[in-house]
Amino acid sequence: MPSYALLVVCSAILMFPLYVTVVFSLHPLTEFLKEDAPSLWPSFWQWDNYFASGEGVSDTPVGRYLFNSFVVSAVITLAQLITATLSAYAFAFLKFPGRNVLFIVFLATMMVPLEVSIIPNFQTMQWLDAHFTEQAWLSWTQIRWIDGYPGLVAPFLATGFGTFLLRQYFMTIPRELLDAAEMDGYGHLRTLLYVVVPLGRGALATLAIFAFLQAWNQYLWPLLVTNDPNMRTVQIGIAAEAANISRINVAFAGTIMAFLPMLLLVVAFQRYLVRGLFGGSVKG
Amino acid sequence: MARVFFEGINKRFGDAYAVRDLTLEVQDEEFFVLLGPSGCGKTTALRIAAGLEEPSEGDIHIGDRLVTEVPAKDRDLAMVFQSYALYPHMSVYNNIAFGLRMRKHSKGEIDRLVRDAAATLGIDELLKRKPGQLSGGQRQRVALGRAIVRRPQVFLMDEPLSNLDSKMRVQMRAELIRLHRELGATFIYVTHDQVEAMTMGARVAVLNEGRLQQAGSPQEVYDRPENLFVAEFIGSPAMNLLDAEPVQVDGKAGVRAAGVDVTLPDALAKQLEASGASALVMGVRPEHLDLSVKEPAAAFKGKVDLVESLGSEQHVTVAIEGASVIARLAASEKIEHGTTFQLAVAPHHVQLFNASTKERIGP
Repeated sequence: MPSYALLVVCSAILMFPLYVTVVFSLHPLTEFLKEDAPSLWPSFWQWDNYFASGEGVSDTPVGRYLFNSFVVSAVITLAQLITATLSAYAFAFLKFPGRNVLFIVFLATMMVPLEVSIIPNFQTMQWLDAHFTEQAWLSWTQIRWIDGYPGLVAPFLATGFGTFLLRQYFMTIPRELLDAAEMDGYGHLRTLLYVVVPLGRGALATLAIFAFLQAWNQYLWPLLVTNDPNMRTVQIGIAAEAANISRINVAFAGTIMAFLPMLLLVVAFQRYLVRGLFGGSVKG
Repeated sequence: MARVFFEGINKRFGDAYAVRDLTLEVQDEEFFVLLGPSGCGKTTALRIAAGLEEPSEGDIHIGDRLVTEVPAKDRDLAMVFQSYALYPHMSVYNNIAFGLRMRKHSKGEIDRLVRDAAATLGIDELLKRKPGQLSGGQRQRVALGRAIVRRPQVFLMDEPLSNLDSKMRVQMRAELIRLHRELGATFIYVTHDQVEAMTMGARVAVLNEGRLQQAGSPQEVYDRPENLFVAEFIGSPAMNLLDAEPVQVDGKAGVRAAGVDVTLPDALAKQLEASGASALVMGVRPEHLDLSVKEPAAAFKGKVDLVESLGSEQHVTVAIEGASVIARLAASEKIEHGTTFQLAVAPHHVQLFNASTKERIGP
């Protein structure tokens, strides 16, 4: 019973900022202009913050931001699934010289924080952007590395984490299944597609959710490589709105809208998240 | 023609030999058993034949083809794995059809072949199920179905019955023998279970520590083990092995073991003399120790230490001078723990081994 009470208290502490955001997103602007702190209970349910034309979130380019975030997250997720599956298969099942050293190098990349690589990555993007725009024969592609999707997704197409997660799972697939596929005449790519991927669906789902969440919640990188409001992701867009103090209630409403898709995703796939985190440590 | 020929096969993992100097010919349409304790290299030898492992040295021939460099899928053989290795996410039907899809069969043909194979094994009713919904015996049949559907020339089986309960194992043993007869293909069967080896194999190869110990018919291997390892490994209860030395018994060549002198038959005596061995091991099968002989020429005397009744027979352990022997006796004999009695040794059933080389002496 005491542990139950402790859990309730902890949950309340964790939920409090979310609660405040929800309440503030429904306040009229006057609530924020008072001498006292804004009330923690909505005095007036101002749904206009969300929907009213001319003054709600729907009036800001939030739709565009959400769309950008969705495209960026989807591309990153898909790319990570492909690259991680391929590299994890190699690390789990193929024998090649330097495999273990290379795998440790992969793992080491997980210890490098984004902030360390962000400047060189940005310089790379600038270089690419400059060179692609210079090339007349490429200009028709309209590929922009700064202020464009390629720059937003490029650094995150492959990760050590994804490779590690999938490799650990693939290693639990009985070796005899792969032998059987080999006897049945299946090469590596077909074995991967018809045997390993179907058996690794759970791990792939886990990776997909992690990748999507992480991509969706990115802040620093999109801030750096986008200047054009049209290319802003939702986190940057909302932050820009929040900077405008006269519309802080709308910014809170925008935060909720940026957060909702993730909430739905986590609720829907929660079991894969838990399974992924405990994968390998708990059998079954 | 699908004989399988292992020619001077060596397989090293690091410094350790899994298979050493293996030269072995499996005849066309033979049911051949590779027998040995775990870690003896039998599974590695099978995997080398399959193409799942590359030999460090040596060659594999299947039929008239040298296949050492040929990938597994092009060797025209099928393998049944110890764990069955069924694809858990596919139905039984798809498990069986999986290998055919890679071999450019039409859809109708695949369907016909799958249903034929399922009918042969009596699993027609299970085609829509997933492996997780099957019993051990049914899974075993599906694994066999997956192998037979491709009509390969050679079947490789890696302890396929070891995960079944004993009743199911006896039943599947009979089915495998029947299947072998029907298919007319070469079977190479790996097991550590000597009962399987004796009952199923036309020939048996005994392996230990990566080396071939002996190859021959089950009866040959049982009656005339070529070394101490085979003598001890084959037969249950195991052959009684006693330290012995050459002696003269009434002017004739003999051996003394556990204080008992045994006169040797002439042929064996000559071989013993020719070998010049001074330290010997004498072997007698438990069924060759006889209780009924009234005045035996040679007999072990001792106290009964343990009686294990199997219903049809009983295994009696008798403590004799400095050792103990096991006798296989009729269930009707009334034998009680602690009583003293004598077990006659028939000289023509005595086997001799050189204690230093561990090799068989004698014809």
